[in-house]
Amino acid sequence: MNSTEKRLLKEYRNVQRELHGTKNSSLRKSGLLELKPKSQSDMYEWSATIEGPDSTPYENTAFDLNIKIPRSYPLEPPEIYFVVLSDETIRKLQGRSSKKDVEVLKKAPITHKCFKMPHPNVNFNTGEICLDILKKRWSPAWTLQSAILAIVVLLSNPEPSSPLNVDLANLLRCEDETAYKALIRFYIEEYSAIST
Amino acid sequence: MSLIKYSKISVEDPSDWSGTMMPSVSTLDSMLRCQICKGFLRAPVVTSCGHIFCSICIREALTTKGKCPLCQEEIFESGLRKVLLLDGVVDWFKKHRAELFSNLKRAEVISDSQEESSERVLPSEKSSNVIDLTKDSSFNITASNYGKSTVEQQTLDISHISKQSTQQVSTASALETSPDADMLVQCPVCSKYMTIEKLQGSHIDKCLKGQSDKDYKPQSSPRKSSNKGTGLHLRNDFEIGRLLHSKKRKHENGSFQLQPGIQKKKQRIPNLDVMIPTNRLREKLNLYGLSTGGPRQKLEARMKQYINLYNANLDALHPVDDRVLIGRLSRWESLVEISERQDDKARDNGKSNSIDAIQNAKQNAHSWKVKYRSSYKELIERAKASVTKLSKDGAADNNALSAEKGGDEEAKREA
Repeated sequence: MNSTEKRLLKEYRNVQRELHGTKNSSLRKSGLLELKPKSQSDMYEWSATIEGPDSTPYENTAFDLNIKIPRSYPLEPPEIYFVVLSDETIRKLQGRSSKKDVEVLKKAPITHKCFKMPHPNVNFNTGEICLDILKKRWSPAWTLQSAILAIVVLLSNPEPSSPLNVDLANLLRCEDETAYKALIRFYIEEYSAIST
Repeated sequence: MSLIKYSKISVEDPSDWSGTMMPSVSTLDSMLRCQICKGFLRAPVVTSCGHIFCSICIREALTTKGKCPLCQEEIFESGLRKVLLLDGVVDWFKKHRAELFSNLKRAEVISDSQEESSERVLPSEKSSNVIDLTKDSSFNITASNYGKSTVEQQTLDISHISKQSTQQVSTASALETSPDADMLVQCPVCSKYMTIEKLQGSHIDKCLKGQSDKDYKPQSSPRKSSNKGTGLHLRNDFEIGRLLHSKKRKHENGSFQLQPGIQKKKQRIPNLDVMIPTNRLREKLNLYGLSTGGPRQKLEARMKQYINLYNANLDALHPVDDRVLIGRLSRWESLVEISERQDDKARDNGKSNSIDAIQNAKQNAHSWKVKYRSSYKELIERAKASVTKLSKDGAADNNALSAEKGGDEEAKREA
């Protein structure tokens, strides 16, 4: 076992304890619902689930993230992407839930999962995230957990000056908050399915 | 690498302590860890910005990026300083962690059952129980409740401590009368104290010539220096340290901050000059007994990693032999090779994926064209119509010929 794997194992143990060890986990409250390796056989591919922060258009909605960890981690940052599914796949997922569920979903507030990410700093088609700490300002002292939490914070603090989604960023730059929030809500309701 | 394979490996974590009698130990536990590898500090070094990491971790991190991982301040490898005392502290904690843990855990089980029984009676009684602990009478009860073994352990510990302290005293007194301490003699010229070898070797000559021995710090009296025992700032600490080090095997006293003497003679390997010619690099690798095979890039990486390992080893309280380092280097290299192979594989997959993506995009564009062909046609017709109308208007106004030409051209372009 090399140092990268040792560290990943430590992070895994730590996160699982914090998430499932206590009833009222502070991690859950801050928006991290799950963070674990995708499969038992590979330590270098993780997935995470976060919840949108309250009093933002993302509230009561869960989002999935894919995490690819380089062999030189933690010297190099992990690659983190929002999970973006194609329209057809989302329709299939939605088709599984009954019409009644969809009605409930539209009324909210219950937690459902969105498979697109409408955000000024996230590429709508690929799910790529523009966040300085995931690129230039990464430091080996960060962990997967802190990186994911930084992404949750990004949801409530978008940075329109370095956009990956120009349309949303422009709305924000024009300070048209109503349109900004409504557009995000539209996308979320369009591309959400009830998470099981 | 599978998780199942790891399930048997115990991973120590600061959160382990949350369920014990003293949850606050977790703070100490996490303070003794390196922020890069999240493990206990190995040969800790302090940076110029005051942050502490494992020597090898920060050296590797600085090879990638010359900034402190905690405060992003620009730092240099040459500014790293070893912290031997902390190495000792971490060592102690690592050695006694399991024992400390089981003791705190066992006590927890007993006090838990107490709490439960008290909670069943009245929840408020729990707090009064805590206060009771300070009273002598109830303390006796709780102490006996902990079970005989704990009490025995405590008394054992006390006897151990007293034993240790007497040993300490005897070491100190032994030092005062030890021949090594008495070997310090006074220089007849400058009245400074030093070892006889030093005096006869070079000092007396220098003194007679009137040169002050600058690297020699004056010691007021031999007794005073030996009273300090492991006085680390005195030049003589090296000798005393060696003396103590030999005794260390018997009882772990003093010498907390003393590295083996040989270690001090070793020089750090300077950082690799990237402009070094390949044959010189090979010579260098050969000098340290490393393999000289592989392309230039590999040679460089190998040399850099060995320099990191070697220099980090110099920061350790209990350094290992160079041969162990070479073993570590070859293990590191084989891991790098594995990961490179996997990366290559991943890249190949990525390539085919991206090719697929491009083809998909092409297909999508094609199907889009087919789907909206009629709408496109309609748009083109309308555009043509408006252009001809515009040019006709223009012709009516003044320069008919040129405008018509322009209109025609535009229409052609549209088509």
